[in-house]
Amino acid sequence: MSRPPTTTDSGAIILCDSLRAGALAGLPRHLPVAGFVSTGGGVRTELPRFDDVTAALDAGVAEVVVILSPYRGMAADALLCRQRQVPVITAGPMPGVAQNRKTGYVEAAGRWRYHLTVQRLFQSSSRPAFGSPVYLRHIAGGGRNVLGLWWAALEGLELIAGLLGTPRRLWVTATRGGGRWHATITVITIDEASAQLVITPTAVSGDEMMLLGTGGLLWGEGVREHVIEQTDGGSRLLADDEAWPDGRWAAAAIAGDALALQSSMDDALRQALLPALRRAARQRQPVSLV
Amino acid sequence: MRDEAPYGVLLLSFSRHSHQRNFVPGFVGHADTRIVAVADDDETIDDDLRQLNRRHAAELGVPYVGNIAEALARQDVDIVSIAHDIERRAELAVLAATAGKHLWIDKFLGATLGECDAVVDAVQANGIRAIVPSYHYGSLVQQALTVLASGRLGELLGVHTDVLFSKGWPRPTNRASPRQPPLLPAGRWKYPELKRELLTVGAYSVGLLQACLGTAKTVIAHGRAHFFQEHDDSTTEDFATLTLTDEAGRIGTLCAGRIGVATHPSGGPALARLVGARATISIDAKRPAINAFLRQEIVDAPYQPAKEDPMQWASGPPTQRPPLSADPAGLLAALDDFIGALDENRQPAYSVEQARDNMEILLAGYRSMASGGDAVDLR
Repeated sequence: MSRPPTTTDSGAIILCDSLRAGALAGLPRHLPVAGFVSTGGGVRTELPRFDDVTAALDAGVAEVVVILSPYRGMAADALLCRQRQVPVITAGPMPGVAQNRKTGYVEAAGRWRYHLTVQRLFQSSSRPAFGSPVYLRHIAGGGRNVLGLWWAALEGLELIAGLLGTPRRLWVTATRGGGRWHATITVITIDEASAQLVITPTAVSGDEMMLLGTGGLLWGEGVREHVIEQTDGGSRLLADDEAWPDGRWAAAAIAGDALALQSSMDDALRQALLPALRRAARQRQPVSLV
Repeated sequence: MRDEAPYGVLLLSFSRHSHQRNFVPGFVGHADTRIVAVADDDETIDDDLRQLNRRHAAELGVPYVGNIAEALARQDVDIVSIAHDIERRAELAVLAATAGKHLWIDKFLGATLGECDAVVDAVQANGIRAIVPSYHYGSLVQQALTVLASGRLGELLGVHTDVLFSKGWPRPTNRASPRQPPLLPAGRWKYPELKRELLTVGAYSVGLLQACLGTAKTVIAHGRAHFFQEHDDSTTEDFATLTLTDEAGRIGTLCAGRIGVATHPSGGPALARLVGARATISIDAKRPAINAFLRQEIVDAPYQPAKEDPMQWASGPPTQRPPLSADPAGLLAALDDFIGALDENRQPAYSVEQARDNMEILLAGYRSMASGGDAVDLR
């Protein structure tokens, strides 16, 4: 359920697009939030808005800039923040390793670890009754643009490696339509478990995850877990900020918590994934990465 | 109901690897069909099946004919329901088509793509109608087609489906042993104690992908024995995943398998997600449902499968959330479509051509699986 946000005179400036907008309502409960900048799409929020990062920095309220969704101009914005001595934390990488060094942002790749469903999956799958992992199906949003697709794929791959183990085969399939991107990452691990990660071009509130073990099924039904409002006009799901890990993750990242910051993936593979997604969409057939 | 006499239906075999028993209520209950005989080739089947065939014929009050050629010569037979072992299905379908009978075929036309092609050719050459009722008429596909027709998705980009059977009593496989990729089927599907589960369960999901996407172009698959020692011993899969792209680059994925009793409240997930440029729509074929948590039935639940049906091919475990639909598999809808196709001299929505393509996708999956996960190009 949405709760009234608590904003502060100074604090974090949050950047995200419409696919991540569901996370905004819960952020002020985890860290001081001074404002919001949209990186794309219509975003409804009660947080103070700024037109862009420059305007937010000029207002003098930014203690940190937190980028929840990637966008084309983020490297330039990160550089600007560095010049103004405002730290930047991102939930994923920027294209090109050299740019990362130049802009000096902090990538906190562990947002997925703060997802409550993920945490419960890890707990439950460690019980003896679960047995050995066999298969993970994960549905996540992110394909509003190719950078969003990339970040969602990276988070999904971190989850797959964490739950199932090291990939021995990794296939990327991708397609685009109406300016939106859709991809599937198919993974086979060295222990012969498999995963199908589906990244949709639309928002997915409360990611859906199904983890099959030799002892049974663990299943977070995503959207079906929401509070439902029914009126004469029909039914709708009410935003559940607990379904989003962003607030817990951002607070931990600002505090320097290693769980929030660390990636378990090889950086070359992370960077190779972005061109692979583009190539898979262009070639209309799967691209092998591992 | 038609003015003319009902179509006479010949039931060819009650092989325990088939769904003939599931087809009977439709043929019995439909106003335009009547079962006229049960038949099999007595000389080629084992005694258990001979007895089973005879028992079903007696229960239905129709004659049992121990020679298929003789049964096909009967003038009162209009439709032949073919549910023999998969290895005999193509031969029988060609025989029946040549005899001018219309065909109701259980799931698979034959054991190889060549056999499937032979059935397609026989149906076309003899001008008869044929339906493969198992894939197109169920709740998952029909709800998906309704969504597609609504235009709500915008441009369709992908379809992703999970169909699993919460059946059988798993015994841990010997995971310490070196694990080989599953064998290529090479025309053999029948094992006395197991089924190849990409074929058996995955075929339903392939039917959904066919209904929504274009012609498959590339297939990647992976499978192993994870749950049953029987599969591990025979180097066959009890669980598999498959990813395909079609000619437009759209993506389809599926998982399929037999995962053991008591792993799902409705007997196993049957889910589809349709991904479009404007919306993503989730369909659960097991909903709407009624939650039934009755203490005594849960604590005393008879989850152990019967000895004569250990993999539960003809039975199922107790469920706590049974679906409300009276025809979730769509067999009654399929029969309506078939009768309509016969009366109106048109093709049913899912005929032998689609079933042949379904098998082609599955066989490509098996080739990928046997290679350790390479991509297989179909066209």
